[in-house]
Amino acid sequence: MEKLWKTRLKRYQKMLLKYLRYVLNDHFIIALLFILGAFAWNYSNFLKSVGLTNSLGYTKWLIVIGLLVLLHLGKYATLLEDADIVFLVPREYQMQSYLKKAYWHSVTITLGQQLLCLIILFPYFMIVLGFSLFQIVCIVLVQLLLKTQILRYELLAASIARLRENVVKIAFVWLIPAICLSLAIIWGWLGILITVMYILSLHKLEKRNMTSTIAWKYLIMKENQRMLSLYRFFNLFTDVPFISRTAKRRKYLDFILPQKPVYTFLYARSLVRNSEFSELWLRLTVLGTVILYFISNFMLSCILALIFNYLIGFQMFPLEKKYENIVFTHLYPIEKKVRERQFSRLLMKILVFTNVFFAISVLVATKGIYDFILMIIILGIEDYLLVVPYLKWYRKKHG
Amino acid sequence: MTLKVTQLVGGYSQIPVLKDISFEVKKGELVGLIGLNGAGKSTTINHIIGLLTPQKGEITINGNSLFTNTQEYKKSIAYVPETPILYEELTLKEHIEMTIMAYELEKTSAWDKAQQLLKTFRLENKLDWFPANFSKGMKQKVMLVCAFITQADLFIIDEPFLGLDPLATRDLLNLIEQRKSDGASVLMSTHVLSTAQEYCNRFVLIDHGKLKTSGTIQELQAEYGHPNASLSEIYLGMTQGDGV
Repeated sequence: MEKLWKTRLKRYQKMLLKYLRYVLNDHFIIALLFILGAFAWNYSNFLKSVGLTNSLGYTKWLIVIGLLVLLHLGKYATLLEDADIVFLVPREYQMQSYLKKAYWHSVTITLGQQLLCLIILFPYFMIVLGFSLFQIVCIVLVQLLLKTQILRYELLAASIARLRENVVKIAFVWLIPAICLSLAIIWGWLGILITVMYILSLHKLEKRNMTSTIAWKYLIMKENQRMLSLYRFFNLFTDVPFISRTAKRRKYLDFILPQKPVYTFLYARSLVRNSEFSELWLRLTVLGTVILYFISNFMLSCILALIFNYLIGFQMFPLEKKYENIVFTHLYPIEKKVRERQFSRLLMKILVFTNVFFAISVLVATKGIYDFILMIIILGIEDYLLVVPYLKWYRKKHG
Repeated sequence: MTLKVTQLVGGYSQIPVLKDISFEVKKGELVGLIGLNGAGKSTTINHIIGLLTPQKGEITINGNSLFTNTQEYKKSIAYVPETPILYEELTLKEHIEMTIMAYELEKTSAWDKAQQLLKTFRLENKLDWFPANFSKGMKQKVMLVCAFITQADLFIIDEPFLGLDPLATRDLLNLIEQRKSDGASVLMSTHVLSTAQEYCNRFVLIDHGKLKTSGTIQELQAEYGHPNASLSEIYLGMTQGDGV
C-alpha cells in the first residue's frame, strides 16, 4: 500500500511539473514579476501610510474571516482514481496506511502554504495592528494546528459516516475553527487552549467511532473535485485534456454569429457555444474593466490593460488548433494560410471589442479624453503585435 | 480513370505498413477494399485522403496528385469516416453550410440535394440540433449527407454498414448506385462481405499491408479455382495461406 502511494505521488508530481512548465512560461514569469513587484511596493506603502491603529474594531473580524478562508486553502489529496473502487476494494483493510501516508503528505504541503501566507501577513499584524509577538505566535500556532485537524477530519470522514453529514462538517471545519481563531486574536492563550481541546475531542471521536471501512465514492468524488479545480487552474494556461466542456446551443446569440467565411463561421460558433475559450475571455474582460475603473493613475492603468490584453490574446491562440484532430479540417480544399488569416482577423475583432471596454473604463476613471485616445492607440498597437508577429512566432513554435 | 494508386509504400512511422500497393478505381465503379482488422485498409484510405504522405509510390485522382494540385485533388474527394467525426459546436444545418462553404458549392442546388438526403435519412426535422449528441447511426447519416452533397469524383466510404439500420443501408446503396451512374467512383472498405459481393464491381484484397489480389468476383473465383465460391470463402482461403 505504501508502495502504491509512492508511485501515485511520483506520477502526481510529474503531472504537476509538466503543467507548471506551461504555467511558468517565459512571458508569464515576466508578468508575474511585475505583479509581485507592484504588490510588494503597494504593500510596503500601505504599511507605512496606515501606521498603528489601536482601535481594532471590525478589522478583527475581517482577519478571522481571512484566516478562516486561508485555512481552507489546500485540500486533503488522496490521489485516488475512479477505477480504485473496483481494483482496491479487495484490499480495503489495508487502505488506512495508504490514507495516512496521503494525510501526512497533505499536512507538509499545506503547512508550508499556511506558513508562507502567515509570514506575508506578519508585518501587517505587527505594524498596523500592533499585535505583540506572543499574540502572533499564538495565532500562527492555532492556525497551523487547525490546518492539521481539518485535514485529519477529512481523513476520519472517510471511515466515519457521521462526519460526512453537512451539519457536523460545518461545525467542525468552519464554526469551531472560527471560535479558536477569534479567541487566539483576543486572548492568545485561550485560543490555544480551545484548539487543544478541539484536537482532543477529534481524537476521542476517532477512538470511539473508527471503522476499517472506507467511503470510496465519497473519497473519489472529493479527489475528483480537487483535481478538477487544479486542472481548471492549469487550463488557464494550456489545454488540459481532462477538461472538456459540452457545447450549449445559446440560440439567443445566433444574431451575432457571422455567416461566412468558413473558418470564421466555425471559430465564432466555438466561442459562443463552448465556454472553453470564451469564459476566460469574458472573465478577464470584466475583471480588467472593473479594475481599470478603480485606478486613477494612467501609467498603472496602461500597464494593467496591456497585461490583461496580452493574457486574453495569448489564451486565445490554442483555439486555432482546436479542430486539428477533426479530419475534415484537413480534407477541405482550403489552404492553411486562408484558415490562419481568418482566425487572425477574428482574434483581432475580439481584442478590439475588449479594448473598447478597457478604454471606456479608463475614460470614466481618469476623466481624460486624451487618456482614452492614448489607451486605444496603445492597446491597438499591442493587438497588432499579438495577432501578427507574435501569433506567427507561436504558430511556428507549436507546429 | 479516377483514382490510381501506384506502388504505394507508407505508414505512420518509418516502418512501412503498406508494402507496394497498386490498384485503380475507374469512373462509375464501386470498388470494395477488403481486409481483416489491421490489414492496412484504413492506412490505405488515410494515404488517399492525404493525411499520410507516401514514402514511395504515387496516388493520383484524375491525374492530379496531392502535391502537384492540392486544391483540385482535395475537391474531388468526399470522405465518410468509419467513426463519425463532428464539430461539437455546430448544428446539423451548420454542418451542411460549412461543407457548402468549404467546397464552394452552389448554394441553392446544394441545399436542394441536402433536403432530399435529409429526407431520405429522416433527419429533416433535426436541422437545429447538435449532431454530436445523436446516436452513432444518426451521426453516420450526417456524415453521409455532408459527403453526398459535394460534387466529388471519388467517394471514400470507410466501413459504412456497421451502425446503420437496414433501411439506411438500402438507401445508402441506392445513393451509391445513383452517384455511380452520374460518373463518380466509389472506394468502400468493409467487413460485410456478403453485401460487398452483391454490390461492388471489383475488389481489392489486402492482407498484412500487401495486395493479395484484385479483380471482379468472377476473376477472383477463377484465380481461387472455385467458380462458385463466395467472396468470404475466397478471402478466408487466401489470407490463411491455402488457395493461391
